[in-house]
Amino acid sequence: MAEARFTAPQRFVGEPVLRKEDQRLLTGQGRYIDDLDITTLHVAFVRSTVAAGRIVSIDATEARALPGVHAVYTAEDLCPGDMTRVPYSCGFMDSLEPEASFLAHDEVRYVGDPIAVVIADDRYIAEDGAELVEVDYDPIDAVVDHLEAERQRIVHPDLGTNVAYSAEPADMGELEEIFAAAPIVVEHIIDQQRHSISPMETRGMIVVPGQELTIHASIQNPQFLRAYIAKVFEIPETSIRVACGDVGGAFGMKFFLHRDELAVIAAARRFGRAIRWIEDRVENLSASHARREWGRARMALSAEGDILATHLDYRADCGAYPLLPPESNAMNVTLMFQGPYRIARSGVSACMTFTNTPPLVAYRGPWMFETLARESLIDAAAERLGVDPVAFRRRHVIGLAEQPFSYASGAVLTGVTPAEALDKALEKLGGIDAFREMQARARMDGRYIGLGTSVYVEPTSFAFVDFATEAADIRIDPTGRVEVTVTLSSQGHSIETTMAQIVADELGVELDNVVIRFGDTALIGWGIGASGSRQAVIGGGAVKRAAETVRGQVFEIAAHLLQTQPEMLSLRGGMIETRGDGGASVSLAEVARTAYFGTESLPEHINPGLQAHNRYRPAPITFSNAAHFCVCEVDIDTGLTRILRWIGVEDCGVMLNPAVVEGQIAGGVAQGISGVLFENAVYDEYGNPQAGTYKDYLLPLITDMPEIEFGHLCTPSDTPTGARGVGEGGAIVAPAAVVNAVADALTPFAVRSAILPLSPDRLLELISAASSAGVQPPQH
Amino acid sequence: MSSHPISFTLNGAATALEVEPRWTLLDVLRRQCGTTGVHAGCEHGVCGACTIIVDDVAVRACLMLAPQADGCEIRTVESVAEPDGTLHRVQRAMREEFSLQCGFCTPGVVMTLVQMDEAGADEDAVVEALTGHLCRCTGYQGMKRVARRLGQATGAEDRQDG
Repeated sequence: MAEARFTAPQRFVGEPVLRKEDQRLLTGQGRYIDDLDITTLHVAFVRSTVAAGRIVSIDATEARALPGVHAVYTAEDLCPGDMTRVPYSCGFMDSLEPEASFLAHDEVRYVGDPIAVVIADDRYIAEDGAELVEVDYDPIDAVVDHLEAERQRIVHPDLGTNVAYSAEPADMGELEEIFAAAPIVVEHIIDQQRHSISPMETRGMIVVPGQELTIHASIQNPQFLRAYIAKVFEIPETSIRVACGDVGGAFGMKFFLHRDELAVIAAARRFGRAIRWIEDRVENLSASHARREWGRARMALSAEGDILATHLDYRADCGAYPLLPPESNAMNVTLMFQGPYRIARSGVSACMTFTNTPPLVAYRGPWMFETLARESLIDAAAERLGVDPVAFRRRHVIGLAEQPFSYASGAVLTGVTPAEALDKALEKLGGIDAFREMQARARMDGRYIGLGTSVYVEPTSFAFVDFATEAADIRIDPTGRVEVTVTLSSQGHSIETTMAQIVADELGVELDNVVIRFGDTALIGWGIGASGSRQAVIGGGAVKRAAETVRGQVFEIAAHLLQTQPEMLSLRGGMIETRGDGGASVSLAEVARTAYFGTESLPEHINPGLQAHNRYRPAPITFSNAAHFCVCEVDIDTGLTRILRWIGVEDCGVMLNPAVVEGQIAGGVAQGISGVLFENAVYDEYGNPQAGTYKDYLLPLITDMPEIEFGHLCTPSDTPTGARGVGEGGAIVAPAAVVNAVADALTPFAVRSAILPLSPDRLLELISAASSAGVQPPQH
Repeated sequence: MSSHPISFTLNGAATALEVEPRWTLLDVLRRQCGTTGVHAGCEHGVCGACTIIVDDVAVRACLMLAPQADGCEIRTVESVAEPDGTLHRVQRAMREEFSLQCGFCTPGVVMTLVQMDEAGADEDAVVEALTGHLCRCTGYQGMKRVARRLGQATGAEDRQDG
């Protein structure tokens, strides 16, 4: 089992130990970006009020004259001579990139597009100044509907197309032949609404210019962004320090720097003094988006119900300046659309378009559309075949015994347990028959209850090219305390706890004696930080390996002190002991003291000090998987959907801390539920945001969430900790479960819709349309 | 801008300062008083991250102008634990039930729970009060357990051991 992978006794890994982060966060001592006590002036932005328009003039005369305003910068001030040099998508793929600048200089391309930076004594005056800047636009037709974008005005004339990326399966001709010949073809439309990522802490940045350019920011990845900033500003990375303290949620939004953040850096360099920009919520809700995607999913079936092929026509809105590289998302959707099923042929046609809306960014499981499309298609297919969707899945789902399993796309699945997870979830549900009986009884009482299933596989911990590695430095100080520095970062990921659990076990010390540091390029070198559910797997691997090395160093010195051989020693409770009865022992503190202060006594072959560095690269992908059930009730009079039960069984390998694992899943599930039922970043036909505050953009409340019933399978991964990524899974798997549950609840009305959100007004509309079409629920 | 002298009691200490009439209490607590545990989440009264207790009532600091706090008794999250760091029972419950992740909404949640705890609220009332807080990380799983725990402790021994 999992535990056997650890050479040291396991006291902490696998236990729900309390979080080391909580003491400061519960007492108001967290240090988020705007809490940093650095003297600065304050920034507010002038932003576009139209979705598309040529800038005729910008008049900042009045603003500059306002007492307390120190500077107003436009694109001409910040990018003199070269307006178009921003490699805005962080340049880590060969994106089709339009010309771009920090600030709009000739044309605005979405409402909120940054136009000018106002620097003032305080935020109030900065906003006064921003209001005084007069921008004269010559409005032009906005491209808002991404499904029409191909046929509309070109958003970026320099590119000559609104298609940012498109691709077809190499075997499209053969796929179409299968569909043409198949006795049964099921087609299903999925239209997902725009989501705002909405971390509870908005973005923010403090820039201190000088010989070393110091940037404190609310971000996910200091090292990665330092490299990007160096590239944009053409200065050496070594002259830049990027740091983040506590970060109040990110979920992908803070993985990339938006153009306004680059403008803050440029403004500070030009101004020569420290400035602070803290995004407000209105800015945040329309700064960038995700999930505006559409799909036509098809399944070809034999008369016996075998799945012959699946195909997804996938279209996504990239906004005006996509920060998430369009091809990366299309490729991941393509990679995973087959999901955990035996399907002979599967392919995705993708088309990603530019529109006059805010940038596409990463959002927890950015490629989740593959699961939403596939799992809702499966329910549609099961309905057509007249079989239960759970039974249909069990017939086709892949189990551990069949692996390695080669996808139609060529990817190879290993070590995943979708069949096992589905069975375990079914067990927790109490079986299908019992549920169906309860459902039938409820319908007799006029209650519409449904069961939704979603099963998926997730490619976690991408490890190639610049994403290949993470690193850890571990040192034991002369008193025997352990300091660990990692390339990871935390926006609630609990890595101060989980990484300490790994180290404390390996070095036989208490959790309180381990400190985890991160989030500063001054501390450690290259790393990606929080992205793609990689931290426990790749970062944890580096931490474990570095700890093993330090453990070896401890044994070397202890063996010398105890006049024995290292392999004769064991380490626990802060003591190194010789094995066997009545063996001699020495404390870790004594070994540490010797390593630094008693080096004269050490033989030549023992290096002084207790310190190790490890940079770890796992296999390119570490898969995880899950099966979830949603039981919901739809009130047909109000259209309100209430979640009654939620069962989630995942396999994330060895759980470093089960409470942290469950917390990650629950947070993702909440985002998935609200993504289907509540959230909607609506834009009108002119490209104006209609959900500018939390009164309009609905997030779930405590009363909207069920208490999740968890089940865990723990199939160790082939990495030092045995962990698999779990950060994003809940958000990927949950939406399809909700969609399927609502359809199941409304079976008597023959309402099956994946046109999201399934808000009360929409469900009432669908029920009413079904009723007027003659579909009637059973009488009661 | 004109400035106005105001005074209030902040976490037990008499505080006097000059404020502009348009400054929110949230900004004054963060910028003038250094109580940065009061978090600015939405600045329009929905998310609850800036919740503080003013004259024994939990309120949004972003919805009060600073002059309105003149003469009030204000408590922020910084006052809840013992000076030696010993957590209040609601903070302890939050930690033990894993009810926070990024921690940004947490200070506001703590203040609502403190008020509900002082009022002897039952589980339903605590949950109802927590509908005034947005948390994007946890799916509220831990907060539901905290509400149950505090509700069950109403009038019981757990209320005295804090």
